[in-house]
Amino acid sequence: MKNVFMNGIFKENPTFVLFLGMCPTLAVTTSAFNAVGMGLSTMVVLVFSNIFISLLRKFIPDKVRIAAYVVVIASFVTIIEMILKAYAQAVSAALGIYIPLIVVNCIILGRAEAFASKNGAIRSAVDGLGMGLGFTLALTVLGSIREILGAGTFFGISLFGEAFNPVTIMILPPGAFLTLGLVVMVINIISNKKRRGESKIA
Amino acid sequence: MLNKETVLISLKLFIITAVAALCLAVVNKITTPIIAENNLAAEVKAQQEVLPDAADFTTVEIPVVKSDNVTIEKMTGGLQAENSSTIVGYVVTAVSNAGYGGDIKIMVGIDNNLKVTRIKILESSETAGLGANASKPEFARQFEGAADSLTVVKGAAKSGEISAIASATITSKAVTSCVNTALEAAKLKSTDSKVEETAQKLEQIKQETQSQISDGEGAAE
Repeated sequence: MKNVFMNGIFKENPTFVLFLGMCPTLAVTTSAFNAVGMGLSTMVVLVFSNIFISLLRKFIPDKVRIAAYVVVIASFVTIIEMILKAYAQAVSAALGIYIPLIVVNCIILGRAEAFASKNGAIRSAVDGLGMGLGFTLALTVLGSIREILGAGTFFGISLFGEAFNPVTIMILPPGAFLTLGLVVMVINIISNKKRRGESKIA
Repeated sequence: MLNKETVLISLKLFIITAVAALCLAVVNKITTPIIAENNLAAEVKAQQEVLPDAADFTTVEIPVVKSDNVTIEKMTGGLQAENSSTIVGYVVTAVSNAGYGGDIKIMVGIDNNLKVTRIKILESSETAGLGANASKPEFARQFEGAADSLTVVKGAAKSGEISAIASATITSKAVTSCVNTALEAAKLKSTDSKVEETAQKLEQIKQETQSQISDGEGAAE
C-alpha cells in the first residue's frame, strides 16, 4: 500500500516521469499559487474518479471501457463544479478556472485505465492520492521556479525588491518549456546516477 | 445479425450514460437556482465595491457611445437607498477586445460629479505577472478621481494620464479605454437625465399655468 502511494510521488511521477497531463502543467504553472490550486483540484478529482472507476470495473465492458471512463469522469467533474459553485463559492472562486481543465487532463483517464480498472477501491483511492500529490509537487516546483525567475515573487511575496529585473520570458509560454526541460534534465541526471550506483552494488 | 455481446455492450454503455445524465440533471436542477442567486449577490457586491455610496442598483438604458474596441455590457444606476429613486452614481460594465490575451471585462464606478470612484477587473486572460497586474491596486487606483478622458504613458503620470504597467502597455491601454468609454457613457446618461428632469419640470409649470389661466377665466365670468 505504501508503495502504491509513493509510486505516484517519485518513481512514477505523472509529470516528470510519465509525462501525463502536460497541457495544464505548461499552462497554469505561471505562479506557485496557481500550481498548487491546479494540483490539489486534480488530486481530489483523481481520488474520487479512481474510486468510481474501480467500483464500476466489473460492470464496464472491456471493449467500450474508454468511452465509459470518459462519461463517468466528465459527469463527475461537472457535478463537482456545480456543487462547488452552489455551496462553496470561495473554493469555486479560487479553483473555478482549473476545474473545467481537469476534464481534459489525461492523468485522470490514464490512472483509470492503468490502475483503477485493475485494483480495488481503497488501493485505487491511495493511487489517486499519491499521483495527485506527485502532480501537485511537480507543478509547484515548476510554478515556483517560473514565478521566482519571471516575476521575482514567491506565492505573491516579493523576494528581491525593486532592483530585481524579472526574466519575463519565464512566465510566458516559452518559459514553461524551458523550465520543464531543465527540471526533467536534472531529475534524469540524478536517477541515472542512482541506477548506475545500484548496478555497481549488484 | 446482431450477436448477444454487441447488444449487451450497447445496453451497458447505455445504462452508464443514462445514469450519468440522470445524475447531472438532478444536480443541475438543484444547483441552478442557488448558483443564479450567488451570481446575483456577487454582482451586487462587486457594484457596491466600485460605488460604495450606493445601497441598491437599478438597471438603466445604455447610451450610445462610440468606441473602437469597447462595448458597454451593462449599466446600472446606484440608488441612495433601497426603493429610493435618487441616483448617486453609475456603475458601467465595459468589455474591451483590445487586451493582450483577448477580452477584458471591467466594472467602473462613477459618482454624480462624473468622477471615477473605483474600477474592478471582472474577467481577463492577460499574462500572469504582466498584464494580470492590472488588478493590483498600484495600477487600478490610478483611475480613482479621474474625470476626463485619460491617456496612457510609460513612466510617471501627470494629471489626466495613466502610468502603464511595465511591459504591459497593451493591457493598460485596453483598461484605460474601458474607463474612458464608461466615463463618456455616464456623462451622456447624466445629461440625458438632466434633460428629462427639466422637461418634466417644464411640463409641470405648463400644467400649473394652464390651470391658473382656466381658474382666472372661471373667475371672470
